[in-house]
Amino acid sequence: MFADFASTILAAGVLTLLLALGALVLSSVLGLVLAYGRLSRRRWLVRLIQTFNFVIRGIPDLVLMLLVFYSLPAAINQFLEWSGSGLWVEFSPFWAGMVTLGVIFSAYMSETFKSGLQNIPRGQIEAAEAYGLHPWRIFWRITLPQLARLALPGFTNNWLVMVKATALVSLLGLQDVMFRAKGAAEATGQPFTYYLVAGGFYLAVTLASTFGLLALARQLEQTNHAGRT
Amino acid sequence: MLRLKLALAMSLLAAPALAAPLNIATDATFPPFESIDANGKLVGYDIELMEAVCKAAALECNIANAAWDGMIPGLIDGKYDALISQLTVTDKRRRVIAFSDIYSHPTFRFVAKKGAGLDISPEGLAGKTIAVQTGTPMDAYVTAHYPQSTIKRYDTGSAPYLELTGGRADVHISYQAQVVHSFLKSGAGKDYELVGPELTGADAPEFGEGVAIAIGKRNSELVEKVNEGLAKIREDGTLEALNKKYFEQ
Amino acid sequence: MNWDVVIENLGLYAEGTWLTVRLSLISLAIAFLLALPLAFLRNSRSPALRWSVIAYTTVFRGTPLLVQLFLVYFGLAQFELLRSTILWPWLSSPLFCALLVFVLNSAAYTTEIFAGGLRAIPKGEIEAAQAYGFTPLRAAWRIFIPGMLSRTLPVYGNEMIMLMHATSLASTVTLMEITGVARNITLNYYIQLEPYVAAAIIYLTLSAVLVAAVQLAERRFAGFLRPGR
Repeated sequence: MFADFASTILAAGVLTLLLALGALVLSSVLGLVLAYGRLSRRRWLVRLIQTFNFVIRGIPDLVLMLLVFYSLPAAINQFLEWSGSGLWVEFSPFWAGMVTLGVIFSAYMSETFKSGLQNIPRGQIEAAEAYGLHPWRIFWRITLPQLARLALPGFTNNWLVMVKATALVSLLGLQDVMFRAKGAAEATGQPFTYYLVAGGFYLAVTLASTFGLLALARQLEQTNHAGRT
Repeated sequence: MLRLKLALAMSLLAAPALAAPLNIATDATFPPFESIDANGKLVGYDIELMEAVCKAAALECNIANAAWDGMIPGLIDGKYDALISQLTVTDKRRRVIAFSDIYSHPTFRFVAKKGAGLDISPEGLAGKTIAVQTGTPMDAYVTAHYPQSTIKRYDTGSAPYLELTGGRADVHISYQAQVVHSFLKSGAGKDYELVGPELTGADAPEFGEGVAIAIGKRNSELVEKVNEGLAKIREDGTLEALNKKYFEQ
Repeated sequence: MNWDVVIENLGLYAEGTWLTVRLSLISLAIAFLLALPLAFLRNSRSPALRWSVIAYTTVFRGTPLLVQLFLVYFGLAQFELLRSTILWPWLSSPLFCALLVFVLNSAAYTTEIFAGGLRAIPKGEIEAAQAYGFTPLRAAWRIFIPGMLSRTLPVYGNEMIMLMHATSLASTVTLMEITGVARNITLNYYIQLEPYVAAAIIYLTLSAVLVAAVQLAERRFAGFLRPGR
């Protein structure tokens, strides 16, 4: 019985990891865009992004998730109803969870990337521009490698926090690790056992990630130095 | 011109949606009516009932688990097409959602530890802790009639049992069939017993008129279809077979 | 729009806010006091001491707060033995359980933050304290702790905000703080936009106050660390 429940819980781990990875990609891409926006010369853009960051970082993750999963569709549907069209929108817990986490953590990623970008010597970019390199090329060849190295600690931290935040999506009805653990706990009357299993899963993921990203950091350091003459 | 294009695009998006299967939500924390088994599958009386109704009414249904929080609001907002979750028909709910024909008349009962000697009345339970699931008729009932008791509310149907066995609650009130078949008959519930009177909608308005399938208010077509399905399964004995299967006394 | 429901229930929101504030302040205070000695132990020369602290911080920072909360609140009640001890009146209270978990969780993060701050103290200060014949306790109290606090203020300020946000999870164990009040309203009035937006606004206000307080403290106590002087 335990084996059944435990394996169902851990099988949901795939879903949790997919959710977290999806949110990671979304938050990184969005975060990078926001970081560039923050460094732009247009004051209104900087202000807008600062407001966004302030709102996201000022509201608990759980409340933000409830807002996106419940309030946002409600608001959209109320508007659609009022405007007379016959449409409706729906967000499955998986997508709502991923989008919410992606958006929340884009705010944190944007801070990490912004300080990373600021630490890349401006002279390198100017030289590249002087050579007539295309902006995409400059980004790919010069900015990104250095940004990866500089932002890695903050990036790792954000990833770890995000993995743990996925547990909250269970409260929206997504059948992830936490949800399955809750089900097993309530069905068997042995909450300690099954929450321990869930905890073990998350600990394994965070430990593996920490070591993995540490190894990556060391790798990036080496590559950087190898290029120097 | 742009508006026309947008409208066309949106209507194209809407078209396939109309032909899509119905989204039916359930709060699967309420065995034996709806729960998730050890392999992660949705099982239970209500699940089988809904599948039978859909088959009888020739509807394509997709039953999924949802958090109790968002079920009724989700139905109101059109996120879900129907709800099946031992939902009691009450006046309060009728104001915002529609119901199919009633398919069951549940009894409600308190459950407590054997020999606890509790007097099930507002005076008797003064100062005691009553556990209920939030937003249910039981919640409304104890909130209205047991002002001197401490009421603890949980967002799932099975959490109150955990609190009862954990010693944090003195009593729990729920659907009698649910208490008997999912708790008292299980290992965890062997030291517990039903106490107090058998309550129905006749005893308190909070307990409503009976249990039905909830459907969006504007979807009168679906209400008709579901009622057709219900009538069919009543006629051909499916409902009776289901009752026997789950509640053979 | 159903704002009238929110207005009717402002009293509940006020009570919820008060609970949130109490949960945050009490947890913060106790976690702070716990983290101070633990931070020193974290940097201890004895591997046994050091690794014990590392084990604690790793487990509590590597698993979601939700899991920890459920383990303590639902999990511990599973054990008949525990229920017959004198600890039970404490452990049966959701408020106590929530505080316990918030304290343990926050102390883990704070310990790491403070330990990092201690490691960043310039060697010269440590040597000077030794040269002056300060006892270890005196040195810690007079030199190291103030030095560490002023350096870690920004990061610790962030942790304080995270803790305040974390209190929203107390709603999952029957506590009626802000998020609990909002969820209760959605379940009884069948509306989903207004209660959560109201909750979000309250949290934003609290966060803004906290951020302002931290910035004020930074200017007052850590002014010497600001660049560009």
